[in-house]
Amino acid sequence: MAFIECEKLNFSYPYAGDKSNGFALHDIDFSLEQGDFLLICGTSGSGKSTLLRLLKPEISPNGRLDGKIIYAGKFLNDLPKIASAAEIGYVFQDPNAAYVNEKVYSELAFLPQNLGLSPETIELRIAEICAFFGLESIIGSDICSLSGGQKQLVNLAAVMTAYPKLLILDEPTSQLDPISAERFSDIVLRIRREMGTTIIISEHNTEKFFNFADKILYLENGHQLAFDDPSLFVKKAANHDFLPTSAKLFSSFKLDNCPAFTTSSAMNFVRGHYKNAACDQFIESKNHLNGDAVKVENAYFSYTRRGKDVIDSLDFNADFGRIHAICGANGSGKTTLFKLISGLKTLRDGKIYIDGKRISSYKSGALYRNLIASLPQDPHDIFICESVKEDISTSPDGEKYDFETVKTFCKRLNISEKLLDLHPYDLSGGEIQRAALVKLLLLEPKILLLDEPTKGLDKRCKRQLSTLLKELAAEGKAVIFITHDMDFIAETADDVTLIFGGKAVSSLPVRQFIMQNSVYTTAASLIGRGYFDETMTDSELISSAVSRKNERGDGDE
Amino acid sequence: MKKFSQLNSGVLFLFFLSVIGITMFTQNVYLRAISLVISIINACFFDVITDYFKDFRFYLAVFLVITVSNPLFVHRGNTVLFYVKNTPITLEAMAYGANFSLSMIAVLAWFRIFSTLMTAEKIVEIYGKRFATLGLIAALTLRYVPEFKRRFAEIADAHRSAGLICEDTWFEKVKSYLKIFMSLAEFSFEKSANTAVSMNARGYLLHKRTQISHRKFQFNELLVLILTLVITVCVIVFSLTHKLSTSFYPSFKTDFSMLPTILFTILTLIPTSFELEDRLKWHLSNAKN
Amino acid sequence: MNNSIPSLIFVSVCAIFLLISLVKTARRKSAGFISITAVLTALSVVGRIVFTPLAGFKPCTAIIIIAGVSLGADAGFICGALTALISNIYFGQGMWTLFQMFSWGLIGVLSGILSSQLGKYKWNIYLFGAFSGVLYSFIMDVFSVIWQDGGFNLARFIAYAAGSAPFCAVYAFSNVVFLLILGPRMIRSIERVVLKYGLLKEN
Repeated sequence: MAFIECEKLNFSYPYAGDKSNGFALHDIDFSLEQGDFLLICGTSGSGKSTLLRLLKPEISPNGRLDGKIIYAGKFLNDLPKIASAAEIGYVFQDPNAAYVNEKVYSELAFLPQNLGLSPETIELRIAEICAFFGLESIIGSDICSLSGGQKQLVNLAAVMTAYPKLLILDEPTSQLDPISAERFSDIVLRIRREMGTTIIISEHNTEKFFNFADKILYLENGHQLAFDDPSLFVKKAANHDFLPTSAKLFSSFKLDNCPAFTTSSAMNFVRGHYKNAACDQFIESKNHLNGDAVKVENAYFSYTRRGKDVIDSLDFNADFGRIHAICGANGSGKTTLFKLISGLKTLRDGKIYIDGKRISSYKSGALYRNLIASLPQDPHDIFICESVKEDISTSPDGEKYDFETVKTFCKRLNISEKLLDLHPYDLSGGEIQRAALVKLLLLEPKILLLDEPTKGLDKRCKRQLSTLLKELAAEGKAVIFITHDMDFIAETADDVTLIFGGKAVSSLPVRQFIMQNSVYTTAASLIGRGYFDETMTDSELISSAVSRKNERGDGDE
Repeated sequence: MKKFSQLNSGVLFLFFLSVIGITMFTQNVYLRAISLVISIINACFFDVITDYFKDFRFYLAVFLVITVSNPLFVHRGNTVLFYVKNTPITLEAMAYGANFSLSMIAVLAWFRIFSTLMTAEKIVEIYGKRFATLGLIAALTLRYVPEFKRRFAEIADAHRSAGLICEDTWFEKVKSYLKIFMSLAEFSFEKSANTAVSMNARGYLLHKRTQISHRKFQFNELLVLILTLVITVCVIVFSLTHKLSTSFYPSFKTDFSMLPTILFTILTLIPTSFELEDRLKWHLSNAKN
Repeated sequence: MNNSIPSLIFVSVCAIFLLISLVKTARRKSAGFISITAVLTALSVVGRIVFTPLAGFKPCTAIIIIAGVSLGADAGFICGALTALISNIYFGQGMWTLFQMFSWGLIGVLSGILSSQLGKYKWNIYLFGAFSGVLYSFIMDVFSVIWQDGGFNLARFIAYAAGSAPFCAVYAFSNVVFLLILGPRMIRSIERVVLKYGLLKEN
């Protein structure tokens, strides 16, 4: 008997035009056995979160529900409250939003306390979960001092203390850097392997989970477009954005029995089907940038007098009309570099030139008039009014912009009229980012800085952003952004700089950068290496592979 | 025997309440003197003494101000030192001021020790048992404060690089800060919704929450509790029956009662005894190794 | 001493007020109420910390009033009492903590009780802000005097009040400024979020 079943599920929010723009679910139908792993894919706003929340009675949205949700043979609504809290665990997207207590220990105790377990049982549970998650070293720490990845692990651990039968995760890794995301994914898979928990997870970046899923559910605009196991899905699917690179490759060949959806199996496939192609040596083009937009020379910076230098002999150049990506691990100094470039902190030693002039020669505030504009990680931060319209049409001095200009920008960035009347916090992640960009572009900056602009965005929004940035560069602006997302870098950037230990370890044109590296590179590049040497992005890989389809391989087919 | 700081927070709270309360409300010079001296001794043990010395000038100022100002308001007392515009400045009034300011300094020292022991966690522990809602709100507030401080700085940076901050005049500065604060407020309101959802998803309000007590109530705590209560009651009784009063007006006269004075000394030395025993045991066990 | 009896009564009344409020607010509340009240209290504490460079400008009272007006007397009291207790973790605990808990708690309760009046006409809330500033200073001075003299000494009280008058004026002024610029806006935001997420609904 199926463990979870949705039968002809239809859901609509009570008001049209409310926060979720009246999204509904139409005829959702699927069933899972106990211990299954379901991966839900779809763009933002396709109804994934709504569906996930409907599976957890305590946080179900208000609205009209038709159809049935059956859990362990009974209607979900008939489930007693205690069982619902203990047996169904829910992990949210934002690691900072979910925790309630100061210390890790108290947070782990929160759920068992609510269930009324005895103090001894609670202590035992915490000890067990701590061992499973490896949290011994941070059990007494303040949660707020932990990294994003650690916080999300604590959130997951806090939910697992009740040993739930069903674990629901709503885009749990979208706010994390790749390494933390990797660690988190490993733990989720381990939970599935060792505890037999049924897992339902929604993600934009499916690279890790696609291979291990039992079933894939694909939603678009609230409609269920597919519910299959991964191989069948890949065979039927058109070249969907959210598929991992290996899956896209196999999908374009319409294979019946797909090998595993991992980069290495894709590499095997390529090895077996294509001839080894000699690769051209890249001409070392160092110092191809002259730094007319931003030039950092031999910079030194530390936050405290005796502290370690966060920026240690760093050189950096960015040119007008080019898009420059900065990547590197957490704590390597990327954000500090941004703060230095945007004048929020000053160097201890070294020089910074913005648009040819020393940064110190700019009077206070002049740096931000028609020169540098920064998009923060949370675009909400720069909004101060109650409606988007009022906010973006008012300049920092308090005067109103010409409304026609504002409307032109809105059209260009795909912001519809009805979004303008909403409160900034009623907009989705992609929408608020575009609105913030309108606000910044109205200042007519020459240099645009973006701090991790791709966090939490789906592939479609990322593509739109990529197109916009390229347009802005073509207009002569200098675009500089920090990101962990190598695929986005491959699509968008002209130059890439890798920061490690406060230094710029590598600063190259994008193609050269990606082709040379084995970690800071794209899956497509790794798969095609030695066979399709010019490929960086998924689409390049697919088109190369398809165009050379009839080649005989090094081994026989 | 545990350290003093590890005792049950309710017991600790009562202890400090009674010691500070007695110091404040008794007029008896002996009790206040004992309180002052032993508070300084305890401050040494609890590593607060360095802060105390840093503020020494402040305490000196307090002492002088109160001692000198008291005669300006209170004109009773027999020994007149001199006249200021027909109002007498009496020795007794100054002595009263001195007495009061010494007790205030003692109270400040006890509060210092209190602050070091009563960390945020302990505050929540007291509330947690009876006043679950209040305790939870306190816990949540404590977890939000560091995060909001950080967010304020982040939003300030974002505003600055969007050209929204203007620091020309004091008024402009205030306005800019208020804009940042409003952004922080909006962010925090949305945040509260997420926290509420997270709490509900983990079964908050189901039924009675178990309170986790890390330790069981031990003999030591009971002992301290009983001592505190008994000694406090004794002192109160003696005060009410006028065996402990000190009066400055019309002239200095003080009572001395052996029993409550000795008992109060014992009370104030409780933290010291815990610390001494702890250190003694530590050195002994180290010496063996 | 004759003075001490009315003072004793006054102090007892204040203590009883605190105790009753503590008990009343100990009822079970929804998760939404708990989190929005905690957020407001945290804003008040952080406000006090962050505005210290701008001397004399403490947004605490204003935020406590806003909490009372938008969420009721319970929230106002909790916000007021906890602001005192928790912000003094950073600024130093002392006897003044109890005085502050009482003053701010009282202001919170009053703004909750008068919330309908304060919401109606714009100027009401500004006046209340100024009044609260004065009330706060007044109560603190009264308590200080009682503590020192064991009873109420009018002369000393006048001296204290005169001495603290400039601070009192700045304080009342800053309350009004804060409420003027951010008051209605914050109340609207709180109502928006409460409505959007159904925070005050019982589970």
